[in-house]
Amino acid sequence: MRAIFAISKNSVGEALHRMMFQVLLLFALLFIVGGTFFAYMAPQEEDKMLKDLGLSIISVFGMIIAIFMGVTAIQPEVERRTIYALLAKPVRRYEFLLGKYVGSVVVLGLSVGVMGLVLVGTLYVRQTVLNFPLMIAVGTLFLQLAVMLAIIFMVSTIASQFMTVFAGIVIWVIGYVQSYLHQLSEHAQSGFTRYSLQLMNVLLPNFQVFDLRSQVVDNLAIEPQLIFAMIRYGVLYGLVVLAIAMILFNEKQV
Amino acid sequence: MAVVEMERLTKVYETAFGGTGVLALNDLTLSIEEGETFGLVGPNGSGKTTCLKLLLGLIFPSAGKARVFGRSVFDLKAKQRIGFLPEAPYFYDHLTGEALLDYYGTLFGMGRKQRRERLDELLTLVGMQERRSMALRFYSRGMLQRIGLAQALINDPALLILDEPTAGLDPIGSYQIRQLIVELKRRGKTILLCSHLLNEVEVLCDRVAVLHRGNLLACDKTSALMPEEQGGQVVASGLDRSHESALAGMGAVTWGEDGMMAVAAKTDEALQKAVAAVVQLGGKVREVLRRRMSLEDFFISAVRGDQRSGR
Repeated sequence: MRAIFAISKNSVGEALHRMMFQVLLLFALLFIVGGTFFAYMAPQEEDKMLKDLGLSIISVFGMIIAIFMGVTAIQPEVERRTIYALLAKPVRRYEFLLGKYVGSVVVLGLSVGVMGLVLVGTLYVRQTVLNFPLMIAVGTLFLQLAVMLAIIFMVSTIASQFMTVFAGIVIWVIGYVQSYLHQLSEHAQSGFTRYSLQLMNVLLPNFQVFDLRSQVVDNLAIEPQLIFAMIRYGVLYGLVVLAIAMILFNEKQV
Repeated sequence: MAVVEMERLTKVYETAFGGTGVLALNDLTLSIEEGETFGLVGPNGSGKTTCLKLLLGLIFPSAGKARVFGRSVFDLKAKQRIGFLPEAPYFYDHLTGEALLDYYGTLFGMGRKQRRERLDELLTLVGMQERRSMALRFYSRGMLQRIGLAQALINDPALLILDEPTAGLDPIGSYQIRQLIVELKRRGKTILLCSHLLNEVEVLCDRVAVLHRGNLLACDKTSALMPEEQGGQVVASGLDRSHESALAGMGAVTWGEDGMMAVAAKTDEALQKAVAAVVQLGGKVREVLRRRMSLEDFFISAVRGDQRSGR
Protein backbone atom coordinates (compact mmCIF):
# COMPACT_ATOMS: atom_id res chain seq x y z
CA MET A 1 0.00 0.00 0.00
CA ARG A 2 2.91 2.31 0.89
CA ALA A 3 4.57 1.67 -2.48
CA ILE A 4 1.29 2.18 -4.38
CA PHE A 5 0.75 5.51 -2.63
CA ALA A 6 4.35 6.68 -3.25
CA ILE A 7 4.27 5.68 -6.94
CA SER A 8 0.86 7.27 -7.51
CA LYS A 9 1.99 10.50 -5.82
CA ASN A 10 5.06 10.60 -8.04
CA SER A 11 3.08 9.94 -11.21
CA VAL A 12 0.62 12.73 -10.33
CA GLY A 13 3.55 15.15 -9.97
CA GLU A 14 5.06 13.89 -13.22
CA ALA A 15 1.80 14.32 -15.18
CA LEU A 16 1.04 17.77 -13.81
CA HIS A 17 4.50 18.93 -14.90
CA ARG A 18 3.97 17.75 -18.47
CA MET A 19 3.47 20.60 -20.87
CA MET A 20 1.25 18.46 -23.13
CA PHE A 21 -1.16 17.82 -20.27
CA GLN A 22 -1.34 21.50 -19.34
CA VAL A 23 -2.01 22.49 -22.95
CA LEU A 24 -4.73 19.84 -23.33
CA LEU A 25 -6.52 21.01 -20.20
CA LEU A 26 -6.23 24.65 -21.21
CA PHE A 27 -7.73 23.93 -24.63
CA ALA A 28 -10.57 21.94 -23.05
CA LEU A 29 -11.43 24.86 -20.75
CA LEU A 30 -11.27 27.32 -23.64
CA PHE A 31 -13.64 25.13 -25.66
CA ILE A 32 -16.11 24.86 -22.77
CA VAL A 33 -16.15 28.62 -22.19
CA GLY A 34 -16.21 29.18 -25.96
CA GLY A 35 -19.30 26.95 -26.15
CA THR A 36 -21.25 29.79 -24.51
CA PHE A 37 -20.92 31.79 -27.71
CA PHE A 38 -22.09 28.88 -29.87
CA ALA A 39 -25.14 28.61 -27.62
CA TYR A 40 -26.24 32.11 -28.66
CA MET A 41 -26.84 30.75 -32.16
CA ALA A 42 -29.85 28.85 -30.85
CA PRO A 43 -31.54 31.29 -28.48
CA GLN A 44 -34.43 28.96 -27.57
CA GLU A 45 -32.15 26.03 -26.79
CA GLU A 46 -29.24 27.89 -25.21
CA ASP A 47 -29.09 25.91 -21.95
CA LYS A 48 -29.69 22.56 -23.63
CA MET A 49 -27.02 23.27 -26.18
CA LEU A 50 -24.57 24.47 -23.56
CA LYS A 51 -25.04 21.31 -21.48
CA ASP A 52 -24.87 19.01 -24.49
CA LEU A 53 -21.85 20.75 -25.98
CA GLY A 54 -20.12 21.01 -22.59
CA LEU A 55 -20.54 17.30 -21.80
CA SER A 56 -19.36 16.39 -25.31
CA ILE A 57 -16.25 18.54 -24.90
CA ILE A 58 -15.50 16.94 -21.51
CA SER A 59 -16.02 13.51 -23.04
CA VAL A 60 -13.69 14.13 -26.01
CA PHE A 61 -10.97 15.94 -24.06
CA GLY A 62 -11.35 13.42 -21.22
CA MET A 63 -10.76 10.66 -23.78
CA ILE A 64 -7.64 12.44 -25.13
CA ILE A 65 -6.30 12.99 -21.60
CA ALA A 66 -7.04 9.34 -20.66
CA ILE A 67 -5.12 8.12 -23.73
CA PHE A 68 -2.29 10.55 -22.96
CA MET A 69 -2.13 9.37 -19.33
CA GLY A 70 -2.25 5.72 -20.35
CA VAL A 71 0.47 6.07 -22.98
CA THR A 72 2.82 8.10 -20.77
CA ALA A 73 2.43 5.95 -17.64
CA ILE A 74 4.35 2.72 -18.25
CA GLN A 75 6.06 2.73 -21.65
CA PRO A 76 8.23 5.85 -21.04
CA GLU A 77 9.40 4.29 -17.75
CA VAL A 78 10.62 1.30 -19.76
CA GLU A 79 12.10 3.37 -22.59
CA ARG A 80 13.92 5.80 -20.29
CA ARG A 81 14.88 2.87 -18.05
CA THR A 82 13.63 4.60 -14.89
CA ILE A 83 11.79 1.34 -14.28
CA TYR A 84 15.13 -0.46 -13.69
CA ALA A 85 15.96 1.52 -10.57
CA LEU A 86 12.35 1.25 -9.42
CA LEU A 87 11.75 -2.48 -9.83
CA ALA A 88 15.21 -3.20 -8.36
CA LYS A 89 13.71 -1.90 -5.12
CA PRO A 90 11.30 -3.88 -2.94
CA VAL A 91 8.31 -3.06 -5.13
CA ARG A 92 6.00 -5.73 -6.54
CA ARG A 93 5.10 -5.35 -10.18
CA TYR A 94 1.40 -5.09 -9.43
CA GLU A 95 2.16 -2.31 -6.94
CA PHE A 96 3.97 -0.41 -9.68
CA LEU A 97 1.07 -0.86 -12.09
CA LEU A 98 -1.60 0.02 -9.53
CA GLY A 99 0.42 3.01 -8.32
CA LYS A 100 0.66 4.29 -11.86
CA TYR A 101 -3.04 3.66 -12.48
CA VAL A 102 -4.17 5.37 -9.27
CA GLY A 103 -1.94 8.37 -10.07
CA SER A 104 -3.36 8.58 -13.60
CA VAL A 105 -6.94 8.29 -12.31
CA VAL A 106 -6.28 11.12 -9.85
CA VAL A 107 -4.98 13.34 -12.69
CA LEU A 108 -7.92 12.32 -14.87
CA GLY A 109 -10.29 13.09 -11.98
CA LEU A 110 -8.71 16.50 -11.47
CA SER A 111 -9.00 17.27 -15.19
CA VAL A 112 -12.63 16.16 -15.49
CA GLY A 113 -13.38 17.91 -12.18
CA VAL A 114 -11.93 21.22 -13.38
CA MET A 115 -13.71 20.93 -16.74
CA GLY A 116 -16.97 20.05 -14.95
CA LEU A 117 -16.60 22.96 -12.54
CA VAL A 118 -16.09 25.39 -15.41
CA LEU A 119 -19.16 24.00 -17.20
CA VAL A 120 -21.32 24.11 -14.05
CA GLY A 121 -19.93 27.58 -13.30
CA THR A 122 -20.78 28.81 -16.81
CA LEU A 123 -24.35 27.57 -16.40
CA TYR A 124 -24.55 29.04 -12.89
CA VAL A 125 -23.65 32.48 -14.27
CA ARG A 126 -26.60 32.17 -16.67
CA GLN A 127 -29.16 30.48 -14.42
CA THR A 128 -27.88 31.30 -10.89
CA VAL A 129 -28.82 27.71 -10.00
CA LEU A 130 -26.40 24.86 -9.41
CA ASN A 131 -27.17 22.07 -11.84
CA PHE A 132 -26.79 18.85 -9.79
CA PRO A 133 -27.81 16.43 -12.58
CA LEU A 134 -25.04 17.94 -14.67
CA MET A 135 -22.57 17.25 -11.86
CA ILE A 136 -23.75 13.64 -11.68
CA ALA A 137 -23.33 13.34 -15.46
CA VAL A 138 -19.76 14.66 -15.16
CA GLY A 139 -19.15 12.09 -12.40
CA THR A 140 -20.38 9.17 -14.51
CA LEU A 141 -18.29 10.45 -17.41
CA PHE A 142 -15.28 10.28 -15.11
CA LEU A 143 -16.18 6.68 -14.21
CA GLN A 144 -16.36 5.83 -17.91
CA LEU A 145 -12.96 7.42 -18.55
CA ALA A 146 -11.44 5.55 -15.57
CA VAL A 147 -12.65 2.26 -17.13
CA MET A 148 -11.21 3.33 -20.48
CA LEU A 149 -7.91 4.21 -18.78
CA ALA A 150 -7.76 0.71 -17.26
CA ILE A 151 -8.18 -0.77 -20.76
CA ILE A 152 -5.44 1.51 -22.14
CA PHE A 153 -3.16 0.42 -19.26
CA MET A 154 -3.82 -3.22 -20.14
CA VAL A 155 -3.00 -2.60 -23.81
CA SER A 156 0.12 -0.58 -22.93
CA THR A 157 1.65 -3.54 -21.07
CA ILE A 158 1.98 -5.45 -24.34
CA ALA A 159 1.77 -2.92 -27.19
CA SER A 160 3.86 -0.02 -28.46
CA GLN A 161 2.90 3.59 -27.76
CA PHE A 162 1.47 4.01 -31.26
CA MET A 163 -0.60 0.85 -30.97
CA THR A 164 -1.83 1.95 -27.53
CA VAL A 165 -3.04 5.29 -28.90
CA PHE A 166 -4.74 3.52 -31.80
CA ALA A 167 -6.33 0.95 -29.46
CA GLY A 168 -7.50 3.75 -27.14
CA ILE A 169 -9.35 5.53 -29.96
CA VAL A 170 -10.86 2.26 -31.27
CA ILE A 171 -12.03 1.31 -27.76
CA TRP A 172 -13.62 4.71 -27.30
CA VAL A 173 -15.50 4.43 -30.60
CA ILE A 174 -16.57 0.82 -29.95
CA GLY A 175 -17.71 1.79 -26.47
CA TYR A 176 -20.21 4.19 -28.04
CA VAL A 177 -21.54 1.82 -30.72
CA GLN A 178 -22.27 -1.14 -28.47
CA SER A 179 -26.05 -0.79 -28.88
CA TYR A 180 -25.59 -1.05 -32.67
CA LEU A 181 -23.54 -4.22 -32.18
CA HIS A 182 -26.39 -5.56 -30.07
CA GLN A 183 -28.93 -4.74 -32.79
CA LEU A 184 -26.67 -6.28 -35.43
CA SER A 185 -26.39 -9.50 -33.41
CA GLU A 186 -30.20 -9.73 -33.20
CA HIS A 187 -30.52 -9.42 -36.97
CA ALA A 188 -27.54 -11.61 -37.89
CA GLN A 189 -28.30 -14.38 -40.39
CA SER A 190 -25.67 -16.92 -39.42
CA GLY A 191 -25.24 -18.35 -35.93
CA PHE A 192 -21.50 -17.73 -35.99
CA THR A 193 -21.94 -14.01 -36.73
CA ARG A 194 -24.63 -13.71 -34.08
CA TYR A 195 -22.53 -15.41 -31.38
CA SER A 196 -19.43 -13.43 -32.37
CA LEU A 197 -21.30 -10.16 -32.08
CA GLN A 198 -22.84 -11.22 -28.77
CA LEU A 199 -19.41 -12.15 -27.46
CA MET A 200 -18.04 -8.76 -28.52
CA ASN A 201 -21.05 -7.21 -26.81
CA VAL A 202 -20.12 -8.87 -23.54
CA LEU A 203 -16.32 -8.49 -23.71
CA LEU A 204 -15.99 -4.94 -25.07
CA PRO A 205 -16.88 -2.00 -22.84
CA ASN A 206 -20.22 -0.28 -23.20
CA PHE A 207 -19.68 3.42 -22.62
CA GLN A 208 -23.28 4.27 -23.48
CA VAL A 209 -24.15 2.86 -20.06
CA PHE A 210 -22.44 5.88 -18.45
CA ASP A 211 -24.02 8.47 -20.72
CA LEU A 212 -26.54 10.67 -18.91
CA ARG A 213 -26.50 13.37 -21.57
CA SER A 214 -30.11 12.94 -22.69
CA GLN A 215 -31.41 13.00 -19.09
CA VAL A 216 -29.42 16.16 -18.31
CA VAL A 217 -30.21 17.97 -21.55
CA ASP A 218 -33.95 17.17 -21.42
CA ASN A 219 -34.15 17.71 -17.65
CA LEU A 220 -35.31 14.14 -17.02
CA ALA A 221 -35.04 12.51 -13.61
CA ILE A 222 -31.97 10.34 -12.98
CA GLU A 223 -32.92 7.18 -11.11
CA PRO A 224 -30.51 6.24 -8.26
CA GLN A 225 -30.75 2.59 -9.40
CA LEU A 226 -29.30 3.65 -12.74
CA ILE A 227 -26.34 5.28 -10.99
CA PHE A 228 -25.74 2.20 -8.82
CA ALA A 229 -25.95 -0.05 -11.87
CA MET A 230 -23.35 1.98 -13.77
CA ILE A 231 -21.04 2.13 -10.72
CA ARG A 232 -21.33 -1.65 -10.36
CA TYR A 233 -20.64 -2.19 -14.07
CA GLY A 234 -17.76 0.30 -14.15
CA VAL A 235 -16.04 -0.98 -11.00
CA LEU A 236 -16.41 -4.65 -11.97
CA TYR A 237 -15.28 -4.11 -15.56
CA GLY A 238 -12.37 -1.93 -14.43
CA LEU A 239 -11.23 -4.47 -11.81
CA VAL A 240 -11.29 -7.36 -14.28
CA VAL A 241 -9.31 -5.36 -16.85
CA LEU A 242 -6.78 -4.24 -14.21
CA ALA A 243 -6.38 -7.84 -13.04
CA ILE A 244 -5.57 -8.89 -16.63
CA ALA A 245 -3.16 -5.93 -16.93
CA MET A 246 -1.38 -7.04 -13.73
CA ILE A 247 -1.02 -10.61 -15.02
CA LEU A 248 0.39 -9.34 -18.34
CA PHE A 249 2.75 -6.89 -16.64
CA ASN A 250 3.95 -9.60 -14.26
CA GLU A 251 5.21 -11.53 -17.28
CA LYS A 252 6.73 -8.52 -19.02
CA GLN A 253 10.48 -8.44 -19.62
CA VAL A 254 11.52 -4.88 -18.89
CA MET B 1 28.84 -17.08 2.32
CA ALA B 2 27.82 -16.53 -1.30
CA VAL B 3 25.77 -13.36 -1.71
CA VAL B 4 25.09 -13.92 -5.40
CA GLU B 5 24.71 -17.36 -6.98
CA MET B 6 24.09 -18.04 -10.63
CA GLU B 7 23.63 -21.62 -11.69
CA ARG B 8 23.63 -22.51 -15.37
CA LEU B 9 21.88 -19.23 -16.03
CA THR B 10 20.74 -18.91 -19.62
CA LYS B 11 18.76 -16.24 -21.38
CA VAL B 12 17.41 -16.43 -24.89
CA TYR B 13 15.48 -13.40 -26.14
CA GLU B 14 12.64 -14.80 -28.18
CA THR B 15 12.00 -13.18 -31.51
CA ALA B 16 8.60 -12.50 -33.00
CA PHE B 17 6.88 -15.09 -35.20
CA GLY B 18 8.73 -18.08 -33.76
CA GLY B 19 12.29 -17.20 -34.82
CA THR B 20 15.29 -18.92 -33.29
CA GLY B 21 15.84 -16.20 -30.72
CA VAL B 22 19.00 -14.46 -29.55
CA LEU B 23 21.21 -16.19 -27.03
CA ALA B 24 22.21 -13.40 -24.65
CA LEU B 25 23.62 -15.50 -21.80
CA ASN B 26 24.74 -19.08 -22.03
CA ASP B 27 24.97 -21.48 -19.11
CA LEU B 28 26.57 -19.01 -16.70
CA THR B 29 27.62 -20.37 -13.34
CA LEU B 30 29.14 -17.86 -10.92
CA SER B 31 29.09 -16.95 -7.28
CA ILE B 32 30.09 -13.78 -5.49
CA GLU B 33 31.19 -13.98 -1.89
CA GLU B 34 30.31 -11.59 0.91
CA GLY B 35 32.56 -8.52 1.02
CA GLU B 36 33.96 -9.22 -2.43
CA THR B 37 34.26 -6.66 -5.21
CA PHE B 38 33.48 -8.55 -8.38
CA GLY B 39 33.99 -7.21 -11.88
CA LEU B 40 31.97 -8.19 -14.92
CA VAL B 41 33.65 -7.21 -18.17
CA GLY B 42 32.90 -7.81 -21.80
CA PRO B 43 32.28 -5.99 -25.07
CA ASN B 44 28.87 -4.67 -26.06
CA GLY B 45 26.37 -7.48 -26.42
CA SER B 46 28.41 -9.84 -24.26
CA GLY B 47 25.54 -10.41 -21.81
CA LYS B 48 26.62 -8.17 -18.91
CA THR B 49 23.43 -6.14 -18.70
CA THR B 50 21.33 -9.26 -19.28
CA CYS B 51 23.12 -10.83 -16.33
CA LEU B 52 22.36 -7.81 -14.10
CA LYS B 53 18.73 -7.71 -15.24
CA LEU B 54 18.34 -11.39 -14.35
CA LEU B 55 19.83 -10.74 -10.90
CA LEU B 56 17.40 -7.88 -10.34
CA GLY B 57 14.37 -9.84 -11.51
CA LEU B 58 13.73 -7.44 -14.40
CA ILE B 59 13.72 -10.29 -16.91
CA PHE B 60 13.18 -14.03 -16.54
CA PRO B 61 15.77 -16.74 -17.23
CA SER B 62 15.22 -19.21 -20.06
CA ALA B 63 17.05 -21.83 -18.00
CA GLY B 64 19.03 -22.06 -14.78
CA LYS B 65 18.52 -20.02 -11.66
CA ALA B 66 19.87 -17.02 -9.82
CA ARG B 67 19.77 -16.39 -6.09
CA VAL B 68 20.71 -13.37 -4.01
CA PHE B 69 21.33 -13.75 -0.26
CA GLY B 70 20.11 -17.33 -0.68
CA ARG B 71 16.70 -16.14 -1.87
CA SER B 72 14.93 -15.88 -5.21
CA VAL B 73 15.75 -12.69 -7.10
CA PHE B 74 12.03 -11.85 -6.97
CA ASP B 75 11.91 -12.06 -3.18
CA LEU B 76 11.37 -8.59 -1.72
CA LYS B 77 13.51 -9.48 1.32
CA ALA B 78 16.45 -9.94 -1.04
CA LYS B 79 15.66 -6.67 -2.86
CA GLN B 80 15.54 -4.89 0.50
CA ARG B 81 19.31 -5.45 0.73
CA ILE B 82 20.27 -4.53 -2.85
CA GLY B 83 21.34 -1.16 -4.20
CA PHE B 84 21.42 -0.67 -7.97
CA LEU B 85 22.92 2.04 -10.14
CA PRO B 86 21.76 1.62 -13.77
CA GLU B 87 23.94 2.56 -16.71
CA ALA B 88 23.54 6.21 -17.76
CA PRO B 89 20.91 6.76 -15.10
CA TYR B 90 17.90 8.85 -15.98
CA PHE B 91 15.46 9.88 -13.31
CA TYR B 92 12.21 11.82 -13.07
CA ASP B 93 12.78 15.30 -14.47
CA HIS B 94 10.25 17.02 -12.25
CA LEU B 95 11.89 15.91 -8.99
CA THR B 96 14.76 17.58 -7.19
CA GLY B 97 17.74 15.54 -6.01
CA GLU B 98 16.45 15.30 -2.46
CA ALA B 99 12.86 14.56 -3.58
CA LEU B 100 14.19 11.64 -5.66
CA LEU B 101 16.05 10.17 -2.68
CA ASP B 102 13.01 10.75 -0.48
CA TYR B 103 10.79 8.92 -3.00
CA TYR B 104 13.10 5.92 -3.22
CA GLY B 105 13.50 5.91 0.58
CA THR B 106 9.70 5.62 0.88
CA LEU B 107 9.78 2.55 -1.37
CA PHE B 108 12.15 0.92 1.13
CA GLY B 109 9.65 1.61 3.92
CA MET B 110 11.83 4.19 5.64
CA GLY B 111 10.14 6.65 7.97
CA ARG B 112 10.23 10.41 7.37
CA LYS B 113 12.92 11.08 10.03
CA GLN B 114 15.06 8.19 8.84
CA ARG B 115 14.77 9.36 5.24
CA ARG B 116 15.72 12.90 6.16
CA GLU B 117 18.83 11.77 8.04
CA ARG B 118 19.84 9.29 5.37
CA LEU B 119 19.49 11.69 2.48
CA ASP B 120 21.51 14.35 4.33
CA GLU B 121 24.25 11.77 4.85
CA LEU B 122 24.17 10.57 1.24
CA LEU B 123 24.06 14.01 -0.35
CA THR B 124 27.19 14.86 1.64
CA LEU B 125 28.84 11.57 0.67
CA VAL B 126 28.32 12.14 -3.07
CA GLY B 127 29.03 15.87 -2.84
CA MET B 128 25.57 17.02 -3.88
CA GLN B 129 24.47 18.97 -0.81
CA GLU B 130 24.51 22.29 -2.64
CA ARG B 131 22.42 20.94 -5.54
CA ARG B 132 19.86 19.09 -3.44
CA SER B 133 17.02 21.50 -4.27
CA MET B 134 17.78 21.69 -7.99
CA ALA B 135 15.40 19.89 -10.41
CA LEU B 136 17.00 16.83 -12.00
CA ARG B 137 16.38 18.20 -15.50
CA PHE B 138 19.13 20.75 -14.80
CA TYR B 139 21.64 18.14 -13.60
CA SER B 140 24.74 17.41 -15.66
CA ARG B 141 25.69 13.84 -16.55
CA GLY B 142 28.14 13.72 -13.64
CA MET B 143 25.55 15.02 -11.19
CA LEU B 144 23.04 12.40 -12.37
CA GLN B 145 25.66 9.72 -11.87
CA ARG B 146 26.31 10.93 -8.32
CA ILE B 147 22.64 11.16 -7.40
CA GLY B 148 22.26 7.73 -9.02
CA LEU B 149 24.89 6.37 -6.68
CA ALA B 150 23.18 8.07 -3.74
CA GLN B 151 19.83 6.44 -4.60
CA ALA B 152 21.59 3.08 -4.87
CA LEU B 153 22.83 3.57 -1.30
CA ILE B 154 19.57 4.88 0.22
CA ASN B 155 18.83 1.56 1.95
CA ASP B 156 22.46 1.04 3.09
CA PRO B 157 22.58 -2.10 0.91
CA ALA B 158 24.71 -5.13 1.63
CA LEU B 159 25.00 -5.78 -2.12
CA LEU B 160 25.69 -2.95 -4.50
CA ILE B 161 25.23 -3.52 -8.23
CA LEU B 162 26.87 -0.83 -10.34
CA ASP B 163 26.42 -0.75 -14.11
CA GLU B 164 29.11 1.41 -15.72
CA PRO B 165 29.38 3.75 -12.71
CA THR B 166 31.91 6.13 -14.30
CA ALA B 167 30.83 5.98 -17.95
CA GLY B 168 30.74 9.44 -19.49
CA LEU B 169 32.34 11.19 -16.54
CA ASP B 170 35.38 13.46 -16.74
CA PRO B 171 38.62 12.16 -15.15
CA ILE B 172 38.03 13.97 -11.87
CA GLY B 173 34.42 12.78 -11.66
CA SER B 174 35.54 9.20 -12.41
CA TYR B 175 38.22 9.42 -9.75
CA GLN B 176 35.71 10.66 -7.16
CA ILE B 177 33.27 7.84 -7.94
CA ARG B 178 36.13 5.31 -7.74
CA GLN B 179 37.12 6.71 -4.35
CA LEU B 180 33.52 6.27 -3.21
CA ILE B 181 33.56 2.66 -4.37
CA VAL B 182 36.84 2.07 -2.51
CA GLU B 183 35.23 3.55 0.62
CA LEU B 184 32.17 1.30 0.23
CA LYS B 185 34.45 -1.67 -0.27
CA ARG B 186 36.30 -0.71 2.95
CA ARG B 187 32.93 -0.68 4.73
CA GLY B 188 32.49 -4.33 3.76
CA LYS B 189 29.88 -4.01 1.02
CA THR B 190 29.67 -6.71 -1.60
CA ILE B 191 30.00 -4.97 -4.94
CA LEU B 192 29.19 -6.23 -8.42
CA LEU B 193 30.77 -3.85 -10.87
CA CYS B 194 29.96 -3.98 -14.54
CA SER B 195 32.29 -1.87 -16.65
CA HIS B 196 33.91 -1.37 -20.02
CA LEU B 197 36.79 0.42 -18.34
CA LEU B 198 39.18 -2.40 -17.72
CA ASN B 199 41.72 -0.36 -15.77
CA GLU B 200 38.92 0.57 -13.39
CA VAL B 201 37.97 -3.07 -12.86
CA GLU B 202 41.66 -3.92 -12.52
CA VAL B 203 42.11 -1.38 -9.72
CA LEU B 204 38.86 -1.98 -7.85
CA CYS B 205 37.97 -5.66 -8.18
CA ASP B 206 39.10 -8.74 -6.29
CA ARG B 207 37.79 -11.09 -8.95
CA VAL B 208 36.80 -10.63 -12.56
CA ALA B 209 34.58 -12.54 -14.96
CA VAL B 210 35.04 -12.01 -18.70
CA LEU B 211 31.95 -12.45 -20.83
CA HIS B 212 31.80 -12.65 -24.59
CA ARG B 213 28.70 -13.38 -26.68
CA GLY B 214 26.99 -14.64 -23.55
CA ASN B 215 29.73 -17.10 -22.70
CA LEU B 216 31.97 -16.98 -19.66
CA LEU B 217 35.55 -16.88 -20.98
CA ALA B 218 37.32 -16.62 -17.65
CA CYS B 219 36.63 -16.00 -14.01
CA ASP B 220 39.42 -15.66 -11.51
CA LYS B 221 41.21 -13.35 -9.13
CA THR B 222 42.31 -10.20 -10.93
CA SER B 223 45.94 -11.00 -10.07
CA ALA B 224 45.61 -14.52 -11.50
CA LEU B 225 44.19 -13.23 -14.77
CA MET B 226 47.12 -10.83 -15.05
CA PRO B 227 50.32 -12.74 -14.24
CA GLU B 228 52.83 -10.20 -12.94
CA GLU B 229 55.73 -11.46 -15.04
CA GLN B 230 55.48 -12.61 -18.57
CA GLY B 231 59.06 -12.41 -19.74
CA GLY B 232 60.31 -9.20 -21.29
CA GLN B 233 62.97 -7.68 -23.43
CA VAL B 234 66.71 -7.18 -22.99
CA VAL B 235 68.26 -4.30 -24.88
CA ALA B 236 72.04 -4.58 -25.21
CA SER B 237 75.05 -3.17 -27.07
CA GLY B 238 78.60 -4.34 -27.78
CA LEU B 239 77.56 -7.52 -29.59
CA ASP B 240 77.55 -8.42 -33.26
CA ARG B 241 75.61 -10.84 -35.46
CA SER B 242 78.09 -13.64 -34.75
CA HIS B 243 76.53 -13.87 -31.26
CA GLU B 244 73.02 -14.29 -32.56
CA SER B 245 73.08 -18.08 -32.55
CA ALA B 246 74.00 -18.07 -28.85
CA LEU B 247 71.02 -15.84 -28.03
CA ALA B 248 68.44 -17.25 -30.44
CA GLY B 249 67.28 -19.97 -28.08
CA MET B 250 66.18 -17.36 -25.50
CA GLY B 251 63.86 -15.37 -27.75
CA ALA B 252 63.52 -13.41 -30.97
CA VAL B 253 66.62 -11.30 -31.66
CA THR B 254 66.35 -7.99 -33.49
CA TRP B 255 69.22 -5.74 -34.55
CA GLY B 256 69.17 -1.99 -34.60
CA GLU B 257 71.63 0.71 -35.62
CA ASP B 258 74.86 1.46 -33.74
CA GLY B 259 75.27 -2.17 -32.63
CA MET B 260 72.12 -2.13 -30.49
CA MET B 261 70.19 -5.36 -30.30
CA ALA B 262 67.21 -6.72 -28.39
CA VAL B 263 66.13 -10.16 -27.26
CA ALA B 264 62.39 -10.62 -26.66
CA ALA B 265 62.04 -13.40 -24.10
CA LYS B 266 58.67 -15.02 -23.59
CA THR B 267 59.29 -16.32 -20.09
CA ASP B 268 61.05 -15.04 -16.99
CA GLU B 269 63.50 -17.84 -17.19
CA ALA B 270 64.42 -17.02 -20.77
CA LEU B 271 64.73 -13.35 -19.82
CA GLN B 272 67.20 -14.15 -17.03
CA LYS B 273 69.21 -16.43 -19.36
CA ALA B 274 69.30 -13.71 -22.01
CA VAL B 275 70.65 -11.14 -19.51
CA ALA B 276 73.33 -13.62 -18.34
CA ALA B 277 74.26 -14.53 -21.94
CA VAL B 278 74.68 -10.88 -22.98
CA VAL B 279 77.07 -10.31 -20.05
CA GLN B 280 78.92 -13.57 -20.75
CA LEU B 281 79.36 -12.67 -24.43
CA GLY B 282 80.92 -9.34 -23.45
CA GLY B 283 77.95 -7.17 -24.27
CA LYS B 284 76.52 -4.36 -22.20
CA VAL B 285 72.94 -4.58 -20.88
CA ARG B 286 71.27 -1.23 -21.57
CA GLU B 287 67.72 -1.96 -20.42
CA VAL B 288 65.58 -4.82 -19.19
CA LEU B 289 61.86 -4.32 -19.80
CA ARG B 290 59.62 -6.60 -17.80
CA ARG B 291 56.32 -7.26 -19.46
CA ARG B 292 53.23 -7.10 -17.32
CA MET B 293 50.02 -8.40 -18.76
CA SER B 294 47.20 -5.98 -18.17
CA LEU B 295 43.61 -7.00 -17.79
CA GLU B 296 43.06 -5.34 -21.13
CA ASP B 297 45.66 -7.62 -22.73
CA PHE B 298 44.00 -10.61 -21.17
CA PHE B 299 40.57 -9.46 -22.20
CA ILE B 300 41.57 -8.87 -25.82
CA SER B 301 43.38 -12.20 -26.11
CA ALA B 302 40.49 -14.04 -24.46
CA VAL B 303 37.90 -12.43 -26.74
CA ARG B 304 40.03 -13.10 -29.84
CA GLY B 305 40.49 -16.69 -28.78
CA ASP B 306 36.73 -17.01 -28.37
CA GLN B 307 36.13 -15.51 -31.80
CA ARG B 308 38.65 -17.90 -33.36
CA SER B 309 36.97 -20.86 -31.72
CA GLY B 310 33.80 -19.74 -33.52
CA ARG B 311 31.53 -19.52 -30.48
